[in-house]
Amino acid sequence: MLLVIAYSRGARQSLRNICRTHETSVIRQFGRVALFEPTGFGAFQALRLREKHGNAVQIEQTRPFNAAETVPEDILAAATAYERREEPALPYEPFAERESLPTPAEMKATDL
Amino acid sequence: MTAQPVIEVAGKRYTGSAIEIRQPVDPNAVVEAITGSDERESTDAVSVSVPAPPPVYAHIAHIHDEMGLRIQTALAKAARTVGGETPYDESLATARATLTELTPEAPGSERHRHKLETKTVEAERLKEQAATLRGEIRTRRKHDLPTETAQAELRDVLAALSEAETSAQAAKQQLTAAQEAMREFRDQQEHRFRLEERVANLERKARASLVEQFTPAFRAHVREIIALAEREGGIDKTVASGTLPTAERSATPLTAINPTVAALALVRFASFDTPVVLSGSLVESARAAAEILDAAVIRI
Repeated sequence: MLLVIAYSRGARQSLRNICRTHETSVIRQFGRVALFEPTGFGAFQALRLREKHGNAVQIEQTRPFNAAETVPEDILAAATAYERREEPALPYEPFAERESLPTPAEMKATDL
Repeated sequence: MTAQPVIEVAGKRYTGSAIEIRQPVDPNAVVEAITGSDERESTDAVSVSVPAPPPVYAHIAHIHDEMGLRIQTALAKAARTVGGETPYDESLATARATLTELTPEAPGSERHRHKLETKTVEAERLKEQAATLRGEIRTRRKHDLPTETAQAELRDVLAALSEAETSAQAAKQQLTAAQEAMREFRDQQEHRFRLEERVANLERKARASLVEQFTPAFRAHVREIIALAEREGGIDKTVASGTLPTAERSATPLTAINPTVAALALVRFASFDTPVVLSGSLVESARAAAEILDAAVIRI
């Protein structure tokens, strides 16, 4: 999908107009952020916005998130294990130490 | 003493604060000449020399009987010409000044991305080439064939590979730096947007405050304009037709006031020296209008 973010009042107004006029090409709209469908028409609308408002419009392309494919196994396991812990008040760090799971610092240093 | 307005239409020159133009001329062309918004070649040959218009002028520059008017916005701007102030003015000035200073510049990252991609592809290709050459050398050795040429070629390929990898590494670092700069730029834009919102919010509050403070004064001028029209005191009678009886007038919402009446009342209320343009039948004469409105007028 195309993630479109407006950074000026003018750009936000144009984004709203497009979302209203082309409902079927807009997958979701949150305030001044919208997800356009990944079609030529979605790109056309996004590019029109950028043409009109320049840098006040950011366009990014999203990919489906396949955790099993992109996330290292130990991090996947850590998320599952921590949310299933039996001590709700236990912070992650001691939990990770006890269970030999990756530390926040290690995970921060891991690129997907 | 401000300079007298001067206007020239097709070579004919008019001066003074009550100008009657009897030759055919588009009132909008006159307004455009006054506001300087006329970017076309002035084919109508209208040229003016008048005091600079205040922001309210755009709303009431040309008064005619079919005009529209955003009364509250115009009233707030008119209030500024008579020294209107609000508790928000100081914050507004500060926010506006900060906003003007804040013009983040976008870093360019595409060049680095392109270089990284090219160099990575090149390195891959050279790696394959090196593997092929190593295989060839092994095979030749097995069959006791000379390997000098292949080895020389391998050396060249490895040198090129090392160079490509170094460039790719450098491009990667530059790309990372550029991406960080881009994120920083987006943060600044986000900050700028919030400031824009703040300015807009303060402007709304200031406008509401001015409207509230000056509505009684404005209504008094509205009553006066209607009274003058009703007794044919220089303003065309039809202007007052369709307006409500006096008793109900004070309860009329501002937005329900006839736009032409409101515009005339705003000119009378506001204080500026730029002449307003009035369509012919609206007032008896430029002189009468200038007197009633206490303003410079051009009657066409």
